Amino acid sequence: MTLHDESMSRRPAPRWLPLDNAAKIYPAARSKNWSNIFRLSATLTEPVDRAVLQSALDATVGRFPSICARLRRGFFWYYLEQVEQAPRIREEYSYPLVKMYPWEVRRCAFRVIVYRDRIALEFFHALTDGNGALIFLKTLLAEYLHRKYGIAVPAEQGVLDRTEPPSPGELEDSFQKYAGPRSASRRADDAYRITGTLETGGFQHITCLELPVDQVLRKAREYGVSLTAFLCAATMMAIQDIQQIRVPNRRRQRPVKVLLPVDLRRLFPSTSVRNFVLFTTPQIDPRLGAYTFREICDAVRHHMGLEVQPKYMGAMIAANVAGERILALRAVPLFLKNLVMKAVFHQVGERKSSLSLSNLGAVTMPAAMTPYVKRLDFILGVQATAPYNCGVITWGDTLYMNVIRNIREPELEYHLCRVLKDLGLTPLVRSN
Amino acid sequence: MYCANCGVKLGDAETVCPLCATPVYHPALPRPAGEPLYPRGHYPPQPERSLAAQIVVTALFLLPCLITLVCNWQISGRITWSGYVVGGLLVVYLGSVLPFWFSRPDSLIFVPLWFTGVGLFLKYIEHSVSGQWFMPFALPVTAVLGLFLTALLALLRRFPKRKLLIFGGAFAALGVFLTLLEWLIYEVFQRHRFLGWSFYPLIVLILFGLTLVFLSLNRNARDAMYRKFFL
Repeated sequence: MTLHDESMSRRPAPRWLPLDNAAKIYPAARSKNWSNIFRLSATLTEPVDRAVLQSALDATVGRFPSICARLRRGFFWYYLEQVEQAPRIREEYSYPLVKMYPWEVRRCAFRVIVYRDRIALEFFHALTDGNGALIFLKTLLAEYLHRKYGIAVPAEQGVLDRTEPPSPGELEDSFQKYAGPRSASRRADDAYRITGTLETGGFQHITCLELPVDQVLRKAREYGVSLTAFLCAATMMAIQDIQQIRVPNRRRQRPVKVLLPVDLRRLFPSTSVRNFVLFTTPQIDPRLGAYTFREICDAVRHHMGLEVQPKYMGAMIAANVAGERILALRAVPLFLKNLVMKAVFHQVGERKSSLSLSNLGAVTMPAAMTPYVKRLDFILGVQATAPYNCGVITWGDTLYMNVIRNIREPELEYHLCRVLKDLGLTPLVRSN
Repeated sequence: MYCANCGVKLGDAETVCPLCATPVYHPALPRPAGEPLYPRGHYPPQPERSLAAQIVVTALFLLPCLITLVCNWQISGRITWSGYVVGGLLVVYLGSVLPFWFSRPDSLIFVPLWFTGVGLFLKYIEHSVSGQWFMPFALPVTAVLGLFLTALLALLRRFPKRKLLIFGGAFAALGVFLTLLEWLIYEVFQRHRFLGWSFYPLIVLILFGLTLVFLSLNRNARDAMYRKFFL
């Protein structure tokens, strides 16, 4: 971890941090029409007081120097520089995750958006991952509720103490610390990608499926899998159906693969609020024949069992950090690194999965906060060259599955609802 | 409320089913007013296109044009050699900078436009040197090349999945074009022999083009070639 703080000078220079290992690809992979951003939002029981929220935000930003930051260019690497002032609260548009332009990322790489009773945060992925963002959201909410209603929220269950300085562990690049002794292979087949008619003007459709979490859990246990694996299997089933319709010739079909982000904090003792996430990609190969839902569940369960464990993830981290440990590669100027990383990202990274399904799990908050929070939403931005992504979060007794797409045809949502319905689950569907 | 077509349960604010676009309506059931997840009809402003780069590049093109024109005028008292410089730069500008003034430049417009510019420039050169080669040679060559490239682009746009077939045909046509070009040179400039150098590219291009056509029509051969030559 490198943290540079010139606190002894008269006017201290802003803190800066090199990007963590996972974040290094994101600025390079940006394009004219795509930037890698995601959204976390909390809907409260009452309309949001903008003035109070702004003051809470001003008080919170200093606690998160790695998240309340902007992206700057060095000669060899990008780096994050802490913003001195909290960003102004913005208005909501008809769709979330409006493109974050480079000039915006250079000023402040996250947004705060208020719509009626909802507080939404949108982050450029180089700042943090979903779990780091969740800690920031909870801490901001705690400060807001404290200022608005005078309640005392203890620093527990992901809420950080706003008066304390950030600990070194929160700001570390945990990838460097937990890399394994050997590198895992990154070879993988290309996956089937859903295509459609691109929306004009950058519009993105959101379809939120709301499901009673106890019903989903019961059904997942029936199939002997975790909730994440169950939703992954349902999504793969839907994609398999779509491919069967679109590419009837089985020999020409491609593997159906869903990228599942894995929160490494559950496998390694890290407290970092920066990116510390890797992924596993369960797959089925429809060329071998049509899979039943139970077969898909088994495939996902076995795949996750093999890969989601510290040794294998350590080997994956080792493969990712190997490049940046070579001095000769580190010394390549940034513009050349960008060219190579962009090519690698588009040729290798994105083609290996049909979509991402990120589950932040069941969120808990200190008891004092829970009566004020009505719902939570987690939305991933679409992939650079694929039209879909999916974010899942559970609050209370409801699971919120936000499917985002930038094409007109709601094919995946339609088939996903049909799969869930066949399994005896009836989602409540809401959209923008 | 449930969708009458696909049967999913819908939020109160939904006016059409987000999955199958069926209007949500039931004459006998009153609907509670629901709040939409996002404000309807409120879109972010589209950023204005910055034309700074085009303006700078245009200025960089104009500068040598002006300098050469002024120098030529000062030295000779009229436009002579600078006409070639300015004409050449305009042709380059027409092909490389002018399309970027438009938000969605259409190659089917700009390619013929560029060939028209090249034709006019050649006409200017012929006029300046008092030649007799534009109508019998430069015009047909430029026109055929322009039509050839425009047709190629149009076909690629119309049949994006038949690239191998189109390029196969294009290579074969290019071979024939080179042979015709040599014949035209023979006819116009009275060269000593017909079918000299163009015979070699004709054979190579036709063989290569026919190979591509064959591969485009034969999936097994295509797969075998891919297995042999993948990177």
